[in-house]
Amino acid sequence: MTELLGHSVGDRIVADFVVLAVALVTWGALFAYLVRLEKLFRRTGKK
Amino acid sequence: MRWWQGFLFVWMTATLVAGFVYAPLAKKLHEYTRIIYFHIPAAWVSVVAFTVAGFEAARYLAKRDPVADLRSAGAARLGLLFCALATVTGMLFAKAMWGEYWNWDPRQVTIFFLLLIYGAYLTLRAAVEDPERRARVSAVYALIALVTVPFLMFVLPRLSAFTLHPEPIVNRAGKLEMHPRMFGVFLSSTGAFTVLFFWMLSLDVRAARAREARERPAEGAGKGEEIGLDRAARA
Repeated sequence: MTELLGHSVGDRIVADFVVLAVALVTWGALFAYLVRLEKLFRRTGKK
Repeated sequence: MRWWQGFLFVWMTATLVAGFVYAPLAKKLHEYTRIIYFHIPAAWVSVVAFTVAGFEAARYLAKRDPVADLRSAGAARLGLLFCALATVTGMLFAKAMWGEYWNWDPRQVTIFFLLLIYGAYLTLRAAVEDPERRARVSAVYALIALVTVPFLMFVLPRLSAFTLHPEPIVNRAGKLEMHPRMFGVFLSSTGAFTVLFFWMLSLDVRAARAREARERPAEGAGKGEEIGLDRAARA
């Protein structure tokens, strides 16, 4: 029960959190980029 | 930042976290269950995007509205991007589950055809210089391409007797066999991806309009200069 697919439960939990962290950082970066674009268009629209 | 953008940020973040800490793992898929919350929403968004591209193409042909053309092109471009994401995430899953990135599974083949069809759309758009002709030809192509989407995404993969791909969300028996928590996170992810797509599309259209507005005066100035040169030459 403690092993699955050749990896220990601890290894799998660490891997899970690494993947989650990468996903969150990627999403954060994409969101920041889109908000920046939005601001840019609003600023150029006002001009 | 607008309120719905802040809401989308919280929504997507909560969905990502829920996919890892709230939703249980599927029996046969183990840790790879999480691909469900990325791969299927990406494929779904590509279908939505191609439908929007077709709808806006029809609107362009009916009203000759240049914004409809820009929306159609933007939707096709983003649809291709999400389709590529679905293909890549699917390949990663295939490597983990079946040992190879590419297995010529019916779903892999049909999504590959979709990539080719919409890749050709962008090539066609880039090849025609006259804006009106480009818009008209692209709109006709986008409408024809849309006809293939339901067949390639939903019909053909289900007709095949042999597939390595796990059962779709609604399986062949027409039943939904997914843990309620998993289904909740899946629906949430699909919704967040869809809102993200429409936001990206709106930005894409605004970028295209800004590009056109910047190029138009330059073209006019270029023509003016040419006329000036011609007059100077004649004089």
